[in-house]
Amino acid sequence: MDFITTISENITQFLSYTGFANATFGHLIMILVGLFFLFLGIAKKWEPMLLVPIGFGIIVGNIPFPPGFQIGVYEDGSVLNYLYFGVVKGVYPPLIFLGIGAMTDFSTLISNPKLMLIGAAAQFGIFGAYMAASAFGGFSATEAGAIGIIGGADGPTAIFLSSRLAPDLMGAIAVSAYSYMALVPVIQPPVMKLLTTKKERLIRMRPARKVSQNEKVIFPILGLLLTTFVVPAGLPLLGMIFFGNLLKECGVTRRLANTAANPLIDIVTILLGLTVGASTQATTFLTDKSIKIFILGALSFIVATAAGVLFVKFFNLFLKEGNKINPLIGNAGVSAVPDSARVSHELGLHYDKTNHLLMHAMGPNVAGVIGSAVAAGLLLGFLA
Amino acid sequence: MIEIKMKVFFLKIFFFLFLTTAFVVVKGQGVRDIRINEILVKNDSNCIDQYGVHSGWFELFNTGYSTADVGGCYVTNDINNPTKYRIPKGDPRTQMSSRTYSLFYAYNNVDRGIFHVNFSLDEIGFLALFDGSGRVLIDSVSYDITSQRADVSLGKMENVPLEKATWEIMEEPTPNAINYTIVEKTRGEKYAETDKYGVIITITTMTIVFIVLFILAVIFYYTGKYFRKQTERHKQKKEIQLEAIPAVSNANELDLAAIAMALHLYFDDQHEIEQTGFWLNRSLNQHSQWSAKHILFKKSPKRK
Repeated sequence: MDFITTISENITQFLSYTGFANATFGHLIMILVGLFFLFLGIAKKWEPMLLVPIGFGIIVGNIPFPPGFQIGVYEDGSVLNYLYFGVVKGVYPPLIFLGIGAMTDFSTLISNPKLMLIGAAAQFGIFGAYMAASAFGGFSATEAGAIGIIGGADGPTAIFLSSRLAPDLMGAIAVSAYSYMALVPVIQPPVMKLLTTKKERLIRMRPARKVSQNEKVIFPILGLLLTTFVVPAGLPLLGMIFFGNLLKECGVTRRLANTAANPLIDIVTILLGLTVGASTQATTFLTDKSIKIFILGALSFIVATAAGVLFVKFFNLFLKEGNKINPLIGNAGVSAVPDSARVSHELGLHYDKTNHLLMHAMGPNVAGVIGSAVAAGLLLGFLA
Repeated sequence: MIEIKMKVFFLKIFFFLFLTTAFVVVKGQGVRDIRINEILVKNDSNCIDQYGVHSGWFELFNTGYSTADVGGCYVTNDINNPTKYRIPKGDPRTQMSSRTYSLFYAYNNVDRGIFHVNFSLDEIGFLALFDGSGRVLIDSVSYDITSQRADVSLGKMENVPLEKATWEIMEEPTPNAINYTIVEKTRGEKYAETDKYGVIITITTMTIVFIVLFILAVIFYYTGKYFRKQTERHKQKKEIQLEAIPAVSNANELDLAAIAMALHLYFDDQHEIEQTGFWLNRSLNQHSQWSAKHILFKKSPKRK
C-alpha cells in the first residue's frame, strides 16, 4: 500500500513540476509572441539576426516552471541569470558597438560631413517619446528617458540606457526597439512619402568623393575625443564604436578588426538576443506599462523619421542647386543600420530607377549611431 | 615637401591633444581614495565594540569606485610616528568595496583584533592615515580635544565633492554609515518636478547633440579640404614621375587587366584575407575556361 502511495505521490510531484501545471495565460501569450518573432525572422527575413534569437529567447523565458530550481533568468545562480548579467550590467552593448565600429565605413560621412546634422536631427524622436511618456504616459523622468531612447533605433543603446535608468522596463524597451527596427521598412516609407514632394524625391546627389586613408584613421580618434569630452557618460558606447573603427581603418590590426566585426559581435548578439528575449517573462512583461512602451516606441520611430526628413527639407533651403540633399535620406538619421538606409535607397529607386541613394543614406545612418550614443550619454548624465 | 607638411599637420594635432589633456586631472584609485570620514573622541553611550566597550572610534570611507585594501596602511595619532599602527594585511575584512565604511576602535588595545588600534583619540588631537610605505600621507584631521563633547562626533559630508568636504559637528554619530543622512531627490525626480513635460531637457539635449555633430562636421570639412589639396599635389607629382617612366610594352592585355583588378581589390579593401603581398603566377596550362578541353568535351558515356 505504501508502495502505491509513494508512486502516486511521486507522479503528483512530477506533474506539479511540469510546464503544463505551471502554465498561465500570460505564458501562452508570450510563447505566441515568441513564435511570431520567429515567423517574422525566418519566413519574412526581417532582421533575422535579431528576431530569431529574441523570439527563441521569449519562448525560453516563458516556459513555465516552479520557482526555486535556479532555472529562470531572474533566479540567482541560474545559467540564464549569469548570461543575463551582461545585459543588466551593460556589458554586451559596448561589445556590440565595438563590432559595429569595426564593420562601419564612415567614408560617406567623412566625404560629406554636413550629413552628420541629419543624424542629429533624427534624435528628436527620442525626445518626442520622452515628452509623451512624461506628459501622458505617467512615467517618471528616468523611465521616460529609457523609453525615449527607443527612438534612437539602436538596440544596444536602448539596452545600455534602460539598464541604467529603468532596469524593470528593460525587457519591454529592448523588445520594442528591436521590433520596430525590424519594422523600419513598414514604418518609414509612409512618413517619407507624406512629407516629401515628387520633385524632392527625384533630387540627385553628387557622388561622394574618395576619402583618403589618413582621414579614415583620424576620424575615430577626433570623433572619440570630441564626443566624449563633451559627453563622458557616453564613453562605453562611443569609446567602443570609435575603437572598433580605428581597428578597421588603421590597416595594421586587420585580425583584431575581423574578430570584432565577425566572431565577437556574433557571439554577443546571440547572448544578448537570447537573454533579452528570455527576460520577457510573462509575470514581468505583460503589464499595461509594456503596452504603453510599445505605443511610445512606435511614436518615437515616426517622429524620428519625420524629424530627419523635415530637417533635410529645411537644410535644402540654404544649399545651392546641385548641392541639395534628397530628403528621402532623412529617415536614415534614425540609425537602424543599414535598414533605414536601404529604405531610402529602395524608395529612391521607386521614383527614379537610376537614382541610387544607398551610399548617401549611409552617411546620416552612421551619424545617427553616433548621435543616439551621444543622446544616451546626455540622458544618463542628466537623469541617472 | 608633402611629407614634411604631413608631419607638421600631425604635430599640430598632437599638440592640440596635448594641450587638451594637460588640463585633465588624473585621479588615482585604490588606497588613496580612502578617507577618514568620522571620528568620535568621547563615547559614553554610542556604539560598543564586540567586547561591550564604549570607546572612541574613527571611520574610514572608500570614496573611490573600486575596491581598496586598507590592509597594510598605517594609522597614527602622532605625525612624528607615522607607522604607529599597521592595519594587518590579508584579512578579507580590510577589503573596502566602493563607497563603503570601516570602523576602528581606539582605546589602545591591540589584543582585540585588527580593528582595535594601539592609541586613543583623546591623547593628541590628531589622526592620520598613511599608505603602505608609511611615508605618503593619505588623509589627516586635527581637532581640539577639550572641545569634544560626549557622543558628538566630527564627520565629513559625502554629498559634496571630496575636495570641498569640511569637518562638521554631528550631534547624532553615524558609525559604519553615511554621514549625510538627509534624503535627497534624485536628478530624475528633480527633473520631473521642474520639467514636467520634458521640454527643457529636449531643448538642452538636442542643442548639445547638434553642437557636437556640427563641430565634428566642421572639423571634417576642413580636414577633408586639407587632404584633398594634399591628394591633388601628390597626384600632380606622380603624373610628372609617370611621364618619366617608359611604357611597358612587353606585358599583354590580360596581364595588365589582372594587375589592375588586383590593385583595385587591394586598395579598395576588398581582399578577404590579409596578405602582405600578392603574386600573379602564369598558369602552366595555357588555356582558359573557354578553351579547356576537359571542360568543353563531352564526358565518355559509361556502360552500366
